[in-house]
Amino acid sequence: MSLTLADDERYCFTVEWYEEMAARVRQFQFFYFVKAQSIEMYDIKNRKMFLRTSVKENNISPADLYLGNSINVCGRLLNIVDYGDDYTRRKLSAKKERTLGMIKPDAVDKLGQILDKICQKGFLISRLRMCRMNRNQALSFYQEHQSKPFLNALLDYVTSGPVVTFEIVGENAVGAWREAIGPTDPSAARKTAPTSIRAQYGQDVTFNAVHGSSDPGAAAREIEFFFPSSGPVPPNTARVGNCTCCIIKPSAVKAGMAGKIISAITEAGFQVGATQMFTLEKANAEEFLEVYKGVVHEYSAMVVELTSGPCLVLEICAPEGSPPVAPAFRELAGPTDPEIARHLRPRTLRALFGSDKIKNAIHCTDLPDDGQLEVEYFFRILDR
Amino acid sequence: MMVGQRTRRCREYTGPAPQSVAIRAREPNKLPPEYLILESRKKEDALREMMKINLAQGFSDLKNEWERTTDKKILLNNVRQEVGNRLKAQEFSIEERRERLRDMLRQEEQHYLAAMEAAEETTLERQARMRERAKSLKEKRESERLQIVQNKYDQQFRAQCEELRTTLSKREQDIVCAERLEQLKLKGEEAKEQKAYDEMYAQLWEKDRQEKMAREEREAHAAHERNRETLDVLHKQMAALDTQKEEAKRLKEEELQLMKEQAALRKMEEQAAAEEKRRRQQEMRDMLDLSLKMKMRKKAKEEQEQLAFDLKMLEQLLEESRNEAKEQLQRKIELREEDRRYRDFLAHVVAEEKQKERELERLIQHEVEAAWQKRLDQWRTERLVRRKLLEEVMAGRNQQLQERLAENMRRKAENDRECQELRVAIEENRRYEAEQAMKRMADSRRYQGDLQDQIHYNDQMREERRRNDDYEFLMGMQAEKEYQERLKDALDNPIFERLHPMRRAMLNKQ
Repeated sequence: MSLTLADDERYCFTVEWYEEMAARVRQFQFFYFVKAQSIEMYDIKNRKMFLRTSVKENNISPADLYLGNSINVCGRLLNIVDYGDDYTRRKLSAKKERTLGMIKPDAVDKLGQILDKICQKGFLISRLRMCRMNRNQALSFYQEHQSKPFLNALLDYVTSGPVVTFEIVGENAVGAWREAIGPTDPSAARKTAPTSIRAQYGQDVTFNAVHGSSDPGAAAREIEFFFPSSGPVPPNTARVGNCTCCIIKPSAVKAGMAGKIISAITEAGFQVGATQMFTLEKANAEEFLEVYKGVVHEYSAMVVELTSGPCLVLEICAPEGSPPVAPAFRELAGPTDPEIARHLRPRTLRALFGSDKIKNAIHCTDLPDDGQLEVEYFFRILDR
Repeated sequence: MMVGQRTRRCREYTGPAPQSVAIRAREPNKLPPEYLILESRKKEDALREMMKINLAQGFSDLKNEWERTTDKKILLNNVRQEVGNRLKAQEFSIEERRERLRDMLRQEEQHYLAAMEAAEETTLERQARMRERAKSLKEKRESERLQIVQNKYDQQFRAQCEELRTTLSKREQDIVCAERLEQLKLKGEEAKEQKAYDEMYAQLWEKDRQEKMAREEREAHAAHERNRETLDVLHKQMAALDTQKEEAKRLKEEELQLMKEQAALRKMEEQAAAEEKRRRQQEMRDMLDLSLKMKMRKKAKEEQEQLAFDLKMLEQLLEESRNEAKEQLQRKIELREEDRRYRDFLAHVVAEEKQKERELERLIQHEVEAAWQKRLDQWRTERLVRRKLLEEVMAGRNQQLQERLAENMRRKAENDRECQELRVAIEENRRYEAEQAMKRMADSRRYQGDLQDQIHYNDQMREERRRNDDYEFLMGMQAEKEYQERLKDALDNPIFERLHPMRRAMLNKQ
């Protein structure tokens, strides 16, 4: 996502940091100086400067600064909760508009292709989650269609299977996303906008593959519905049976390869049982990679890579009664080192998408028995 | 209820008659005589009992407390142990997983390494490949050698074919000649350019020189002009000085004139004052004379009238006496007496009158004198005032004159000072002029020296260039000669650098 910001600008945000040592959430004012390429954190409670450092060491670009994103500054995971001043709000609220997109049940198996398309169109996905709605939730989600005749069919449709919802951030996100998905009727879309998503993946007016918020107000409401700041959320779809865990690493997500990787996984015959985007804190990443500590040399680098941004966690599963899915998926993922992978298994995921041993596109469960553990860790423990 | 039936609370009972009262006997004490002792004993017993119970309670409390804390501790320890066990179990399980993972990864790595190695070629294959490569290399070299041989043959033919060589040398000569011509032409052009360049510079120099001359002329003219202006100014100043002097002289004369006038004025005033005085005295005298005469006349008239009246009265009286006969004689004597007395009296009166007149005269005289004196005084005061006025006027005039004189003096002093300044300025100017002249002289001399140096330098440069040209020409000649010799030499003994190996072998054999 390219942003053209004037050089001499300063952006101010309110950020929160969960300090593990003290087990408390601390609030800071976060300043980003575009020209000086530096950042500052000001402790609001203690009324003093907390830190001041350069952007280069932390790899934060202006595009990362939007509400709800998590940024990593010197090993601290900061959640951006609010704009710090009117100037920033004025400048960025239009540029960092948010909208909600949803892949409806019939198109969930084309998740990879749709995500790839979203990436190609230059949208930035800040949050993503696969979940299943019950009828009540669907009704409250579609409350604007309360009196429409097609409501029943629509509710039947969206509760018929899992949906993938995601938050899109960008300049004029609402309009751009509506343009990208095309008209409501896929047949009309095929005529007027043949490259739109509904034109390619939709069937008819009801089964139209994707949903997009109609205006910023609706977007805010729908985002609050699926990604509430507190309160219950529609449950995720993890079954935790014969499954294994695959994490598309932050570098690959940032490079926009998530869609391609998911497509490759589904093409290889695996099912994506659940998926969600997580931004890991260091403690969580360490806990998750506990088993690698002392086993591989790259443990700390793996932790750093995993905490460097949002990652996409997938539950890969196979139908009940089939052989264990973990070894098979490991075969698909290929050797840990993409160099070796390119030599020996050029068609594996890491050979195709990895760049080096750390940024090797995906993490997959290594021990066959650990698949459930890892999936549970993400979808039962962290997703609460 | 009847009055008699009411229960009483006291022991008094009233009888039916008045003042009949009965007192009921006091009931005997119900409590035993040792009641207090018994009571205290009972209390003590209760106390003892209580203390016993308390002790037992305290003991059981302690026991309970101990049991509770111990239970808690046991529970805590159990929990801790359980947690520790579980943690350990977790640790173990992780450790076990790690071990498995390590094994797996190691195996995998070995497997991959093996696969990598398997993917690499064997020795035999390598040898075959190397052989293949050697063969190809050999072929390549052979083909290269053949190519070289072909080239050499070609070269040899070229070297040995007389016709070709002559034609080639001719061609080359042609080229050389053409180039030489070109070179000469270029040189000529260069010389022309150089000449144009020099000419341009000469022109520029000439122009510059002319400009400089013009400027010098201008400057000299300006200096001349300046000098002339200074002279004019000086002349003007001298004229001003003269006029000032004349002015001073005129002032002095005027002063003299004024003094004279003043003296004349004073004299005239004095004369006028004397005249006035005399005139006034005359006037006074006339007036006094007149008044005196008038007074005398009046007096005489009054005397006459008085005398006439007296005479009339006397006649009347005489008339009356005549009327009275008897008495007349008597009266006559008396009258005579009286007359004589009267005459005496008259004489006396006349004398007195005369005395009085004299007195009056004296008085008048005195009066006149006083008036005169007063007048004189007045005159004196007036004169004094006039003199004072005159003196004031004269003082004013004098002061004016003094001021004018002072002004003149001041102006004269100023003139003198200006004159002095002027003289200094003139001196300064003259000195400055002299300095400028010196400087100009020095500049000119330096410029002359510079020019001479330049001329000298130019001469030197020209000389050097000429020498260089000569030297170059000589060197060129030399080079030409050497080249010719070398050419001749080369032509005389041709060298074949790269002979065919076969030929070389043949030569060696010979």
